[in-house]
Amino acid sequence: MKKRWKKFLFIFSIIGPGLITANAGNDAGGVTTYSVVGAHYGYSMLWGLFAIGIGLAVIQEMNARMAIVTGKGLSDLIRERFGVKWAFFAMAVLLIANLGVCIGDFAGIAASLELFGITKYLTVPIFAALIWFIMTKGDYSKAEKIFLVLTLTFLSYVITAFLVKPHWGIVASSIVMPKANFTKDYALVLIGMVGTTITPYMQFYLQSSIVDKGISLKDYKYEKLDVYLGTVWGVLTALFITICTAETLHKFGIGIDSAQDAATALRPLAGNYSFILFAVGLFGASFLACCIIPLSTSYAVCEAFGFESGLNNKVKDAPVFFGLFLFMIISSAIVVLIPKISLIGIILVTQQIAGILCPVVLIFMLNLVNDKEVMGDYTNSTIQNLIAKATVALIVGLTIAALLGNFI
Amino acid sequence: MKKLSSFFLCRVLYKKVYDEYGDYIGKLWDMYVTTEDGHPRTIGYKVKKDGEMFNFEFRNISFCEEDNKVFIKVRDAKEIIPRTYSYLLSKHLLDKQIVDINGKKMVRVNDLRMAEMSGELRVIAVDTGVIALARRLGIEKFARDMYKLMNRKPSDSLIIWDNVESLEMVNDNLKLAVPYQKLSKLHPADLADILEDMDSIYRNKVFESLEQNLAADTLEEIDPEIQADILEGISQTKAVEVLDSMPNDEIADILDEVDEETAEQILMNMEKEDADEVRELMNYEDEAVGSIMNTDFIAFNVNITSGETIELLRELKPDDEVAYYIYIMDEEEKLQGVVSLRNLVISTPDSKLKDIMDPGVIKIRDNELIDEAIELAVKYDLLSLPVVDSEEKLCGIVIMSDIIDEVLLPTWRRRFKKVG
Repeated sequence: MKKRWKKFLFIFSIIGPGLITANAGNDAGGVTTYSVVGAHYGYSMLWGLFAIGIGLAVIQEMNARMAIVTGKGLSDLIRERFGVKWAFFAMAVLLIANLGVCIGDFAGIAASLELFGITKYLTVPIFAALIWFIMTKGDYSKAEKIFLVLTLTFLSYVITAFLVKPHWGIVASSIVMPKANFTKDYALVLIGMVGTTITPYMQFYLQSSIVDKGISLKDYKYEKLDVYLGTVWGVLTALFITICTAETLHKFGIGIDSAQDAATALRPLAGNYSFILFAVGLFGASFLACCIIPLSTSYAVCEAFGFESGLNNKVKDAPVFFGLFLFMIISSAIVVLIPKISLIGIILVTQQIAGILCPVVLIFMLNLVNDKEVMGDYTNSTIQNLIAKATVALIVGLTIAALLGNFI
Repeated sequence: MKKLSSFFLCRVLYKKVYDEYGDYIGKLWDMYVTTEDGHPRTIGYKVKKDGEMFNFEFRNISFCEEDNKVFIKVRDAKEIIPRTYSYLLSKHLLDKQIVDINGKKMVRVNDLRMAEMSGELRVIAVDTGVIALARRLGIEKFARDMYKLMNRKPSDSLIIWDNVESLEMVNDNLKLAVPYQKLSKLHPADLADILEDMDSIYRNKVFESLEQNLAADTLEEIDPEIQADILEGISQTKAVEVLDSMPNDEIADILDEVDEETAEQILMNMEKEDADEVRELMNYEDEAVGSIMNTDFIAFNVNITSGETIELLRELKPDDEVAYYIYIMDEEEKLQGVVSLRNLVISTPDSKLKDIMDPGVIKIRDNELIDEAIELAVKYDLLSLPVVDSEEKLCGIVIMSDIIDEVLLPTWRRRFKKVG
């Protein structure tokens, strides 16, 4: 009995990186994008969500496999296999995408606290300073737990989704049979959805955290389970958010222009207090992302170029590491502080940028994971390659459609 | 046209190669080296033409420079089949992580300094600097200007070959040479720091190659989580061999971290007596004195003389940390007293331990809290403290340096994070 319990605990200790990464996908960008998808397009994008979900599962499994087989992070592998120039290109892309997502999440902090009537000119500088303090002097793992608890309020979407009694048959049929008016805006929102679901930073973050856990090849099956569970959880959350906004906003033709609008999706559950549930969850998720994204960017860049990295260093021993970290926090805060800028607008656009840049990272990954000298016998199967390449093709196709739409 | 006798690898890599008739034979893709004698010596080169690779012997090739442009010319290029134990500079060394022996850390190879020494082209140093990165991106001048602008000098980033250890270029075929020779000369604590920074696969490979005692000393210094990763990753025989030269309390600490299956397997391969003791230690609560006590202590019978004791110590050759105090017990293994090493040495050889010992020995029960042990040791200025079980039998000693390592240091590190 004790043995089985220990085995269970052991499996539980492996399960983690995948779930946490998928959960981190439900940050300000995720919640806002999924809300807009439901409010503006009803169920007509669910097919895309599920296509991306399958792609996400395959891609994250590739990350897990690469981490376990090579014992190296993604930027490490890119540098070693493709040399300085390609590494520089990949890191530039990553930096732009991550800066975007980080700006989006700072906007999330600002938007959530504005729901309580606190101005962003106060909250953004305070929390920018707090992030720096927690990361350099405080105890991040403790902070992480507190903010993870805050994000539990997002479970209210699951409850609300059942309270509003959607027509489950229609929901199911929209997943398999796309019915959509394909316009430029539709393509852009869909790209945003890709960008927030398969965020470039997630690939780097997930692979590094699995490497850090030191999971061996014989426990690979558990890690695979973790990754797949994480994906299912991430997609389900997206689905429930979409259902809530589709049933409460889309039905009545209300669009989302502010966080206030997005919060009304929870009205069936919490009535006039719905904004509290929404704001608390959004705040927790955004704050977590604002800590993780600058950190994982700094790690990835330093890993690729061989700069000293790690929070245990002194600032003057790892200037690039801390410099990048600080640069991301400060520039994100500044963008969000621009007067009269639409917070929801920032969040949506930054997700679209991440979505457009996503294929770059995926193509690097596909090259690496199919390289026999890197992966040995653990290269992709035909079906894995097919799905991953189809995902890349889908995103590139959407990007072209959206860009062409701009010129016609 | 000036002949280059010393240059950076990336200046010549991917440049066009011409033969004596001025015909283009391809782009220089990589160079084969052998590491048999110190500095890697070039023995061949690889050329890519029309998507196909060709290997040539390293002979009659000259690297020249004119107007800051590099020209590579060869005479009588002879195709070869590369030796299996040779390495490729670009593939195995460039862009890879390498150990800086003096700096005691992992660094990334941004470029390689090549030089001709008595007619042979060898790698003489590794460049890990920012300027090397900029050079490869084609923005060296810009980077130097930036440094000038900030009124700083780029730090000297060349590490001579004698002070680095490549992880990949290890000669598996030459059984005589010790792999990772330079690493095995480091202090175990430094080696532990380097191993912690390494990718898990290299880490296991390096660890596997270490000599048994060095491996054990190093393992003790490594972060607990990484200790577990190593034990799970290396071969069973190596794991047992290493643990064989470690004290049982350390083994118990490590096995607490590894997964059940590996722990069971390791315990089964140990001698039964040791395995039982380890199991017993693993059963102690984390906060109990028993969980950190050392069971390899020195204790002698009350009735022997100090001369005999010193003779026995010469035979036992105990570690420093367990030899500060000699504990004395009766026939039933009950603790009777203590003699410090100093008092033992200055006593006359025929005096009995019973007569020179301090019978008022400070001791602690095995199930008491570690905090209690710290209080006692601090109050009475003790370097170690004897631990007794419920029957007053001596079952181990708590060593202050272990307490510092395992209890005080982790909390101290957390409290005073070094950033600032």
